[in-house]
Order: sequence, then C-alpha cells, then structure tokens
Amino acid sequence: MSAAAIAPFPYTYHTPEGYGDTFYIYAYDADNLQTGGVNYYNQKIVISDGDFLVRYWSGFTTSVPVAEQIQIRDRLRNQWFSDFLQIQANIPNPTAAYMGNTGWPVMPEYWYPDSGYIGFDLLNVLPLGVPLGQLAFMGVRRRKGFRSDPQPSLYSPWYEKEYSFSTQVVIKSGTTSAQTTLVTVPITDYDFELRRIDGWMTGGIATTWMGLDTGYFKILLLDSNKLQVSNVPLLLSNLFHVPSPAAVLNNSGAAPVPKNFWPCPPMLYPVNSSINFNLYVTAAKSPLAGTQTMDITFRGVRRYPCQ
Amino acid sequence: MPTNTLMFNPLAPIVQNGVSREMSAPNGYYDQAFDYVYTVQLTGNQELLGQFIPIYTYADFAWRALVTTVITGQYGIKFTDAQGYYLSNNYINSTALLCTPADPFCWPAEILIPAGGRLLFDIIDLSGSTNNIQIVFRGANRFAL
Repeated sequence: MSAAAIAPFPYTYHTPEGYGDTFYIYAYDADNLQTGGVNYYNQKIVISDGDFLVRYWSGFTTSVPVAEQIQIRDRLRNQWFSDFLQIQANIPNPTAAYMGNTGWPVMPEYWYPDSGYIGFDLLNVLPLGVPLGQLAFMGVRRRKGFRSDPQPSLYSPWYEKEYSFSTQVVIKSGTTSAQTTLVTVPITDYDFELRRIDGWMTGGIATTWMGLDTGYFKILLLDSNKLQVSNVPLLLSNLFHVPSPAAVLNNSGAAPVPKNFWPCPPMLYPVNSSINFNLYVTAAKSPLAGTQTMDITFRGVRRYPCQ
Repeated sequence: MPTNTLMFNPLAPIVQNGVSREMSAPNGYYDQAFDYVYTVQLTGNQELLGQFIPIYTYADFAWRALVTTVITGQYGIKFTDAQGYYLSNNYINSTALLCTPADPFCWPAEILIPAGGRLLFDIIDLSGSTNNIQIVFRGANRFAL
C-alpha cells in the first residue's frame, strides 16, 4: 500500500503551545456522606497543580450508589444539565445500573482552572453508612512547561509492538484499610507505553473482572516518576478495563458494555523504570475476610528502536 | 512502523482522547457540553402531545444524542426538529432507544435548535401502567464568538 492510499488520521487535537497534557483522575469519596436520604449541596473536588480537562465521569452507581440525583457544575458554577439527573431512582428502573456505572462522556471537554473546583450537588444520598461510592472525573492535567503524555523515548526512531506486563498480587486475610500493599512491576528491555489495565480476581472472592464493582479494593497508580495519577486511591471500577463479555463471564449483568479505557492519553514507562501502585482494602471490607488473589495486566506497546 | 509521540490511545474512544471546543464547533462558534433533561410520569396509556423543553436564550443547542436514565415501562416517542418537522412517521418504541451513557442513541448528524427554540416531541405510555421516565437530550450549547 502506498503512503497516498493511507487515509489521513482524523484526530486533530491540539494542546496549546507551551503546555503539556498528562493523564489524571480527580475522584470524590462518598465515605463521609454517612446520612442517607439527605441532600448534600456544593460538594467539590479542588483542582490543584495545573488546569484540568474533564472528558469523562463515572462512578455514580458503584457498589452502593452515591445518591439518587446529581447536578454537576462548571468552573463558573453553571450547570452541566438543565435539571438534576435522576440516575438511581427509588423505583424499579432497569437502566439504573448502567447510568453511573459505565460512565458519561463529556463532549466537548470541560476546562477547570488550577485552584478551581468541580462542584456538584447530590440529592437523596444513598450510602446509608456504607462507605463505597466514589465519583470519578477523568481527563488530563494541562500544565505549562510540561510534556504531554506519552513522553518521548530517549532513542529515536522506534516502532511499536504489542506487549503486556502481568503480575499476580496476593492480599492476605485480615489486611485492614490502613495497610498498604505496594506492588512494583519492573519495566525491562525497552520502553513501555501503557494503554490499558486489565485485572481479575483469581481466588478468594468469586472470579470476576476487577473493573466491575466488587467494592473490595482501591488502587493508587503512580507514573514513571512515582507521582500519583489520581488525587485519591480509586475504586478499581473507576480505572480497570471491563471488556464487553464481562457480564457473560460473570453471569452478573452488571456491566454489559465495555468501559474504562485508561490511561488516556497513554503513559510512558521508560526502560529500567517501574510501574508502581498501592492497593488498599476499602473501609467497607476491612479487615479483609480471606486471602485474595488477583491478576493484573498492564497492556500496551513496547517501543523498539529502529536499527 | 516508525511512530511519533502522538497523544492518542488507539484502544480508547475518541471522546476519552479528548474533543476540544475547536473540534466540536464550526468556525466562528464554540461549544460547551450541555444536556437538557425531561422528566415525566405518565399514567397507563397516557399520550402527551406537543411536549417541549425550552432552549435557553443565550445559546443554540446542538442536539447529538439521547439517553434514557429512568424508565419503568415501555413508552413511545416522536421527535420533531426546530421547525416542527417530525423525525419519524410514528412513535418509536423506547426499546429502540435504550442505551447507556457510554453508548448513547446518536443522531447521524446533530440537530441544531436555535436559542429560544424548543425541543418538541409527543410521548405515549405503552406499558399500560404508571411510567416514570427521564430522558436526557445530550449535546452542546453553541455560542457565537
């Protein structure tokens, strides 16, 4: 095929000159919303260390729904929706499981300045003392003088080839939410560009995709400089990919559509660096009952130098 | 294939890679994501004609997709565009419109409703009993620069 026969790449996103975009997630733990049935207005997630662009939000319907209705506001406190979204109604609603679970695209993206905040109102909060719900706003940080993800390699040119790093994590029975399980996956031989995270429980809890709402664990993923890519540890259902047939595999029907294609943009882990992440047991499942085993796969491409 | 450091994850949808205002709107305009929400409770077999949501007067609305966030039974709906031109010859069963926010029911091309206009439609209950419905009209407010 000649070069002329290749269709031009249609994606034309431009980051402003002098700025760099890096993958980031701002999340809001509903753990403090202990009183069910109450309205919580003016909740916020403060933006720090650079502007933030929201491209997706999810987590409203996690293991325990955060609330019945939600309104989100932009940087000027204008509403995202003309009225409250009634996502988790207290009526038989067959669509409820998908509304907050699979996430909502934001198109075009919403911009929040550094030191601003993502504000939102929650009506008829539902946790009833079970700290599991977590709202997550996915996108990129935009900072002056930074390089965008994925970082370039020190060698050039290169070509990409599919590659995955897989690791098995065992969390022992009795682990509490105050304890951290630090996992390190060394990056060997060549630079690695991370494009997706898959994980599934292989023992203990019934075998299941970890991107589904098991509500057992949270993860704090670090980049190659060991800086976290979310403001708080994320429920696995807000980061781990769920493939389309998950409902079939689990016979659960909880998430019949694929979700969580993170990180986006991809993140580079140079050779001899490592993928580091901390795993936490959620407060609701602490101390952990029974030893749990999970397989986590970091999927992406290796960059091979052209000889 | 030699590559550069394109800021794009080919395993992810376009929207997660980022759609900027410049990519969303035609020249001379800019878009701000916005959703209009319609909530109704229909009695069994009730038909409501000429239902509408008034569009704010400060921006046009580019209507792109539809999500039904709440439904307790089947309903039928018949939309029109900004000129009152029906977009179907009969009621469309809600089953054909059901979807998830991550995979909404999308129009082939956006439908532009001018500022101060209306999202206009007829709706009918098909379940025969009380039907709680919330429909979200997804799109963007379009401002002239």
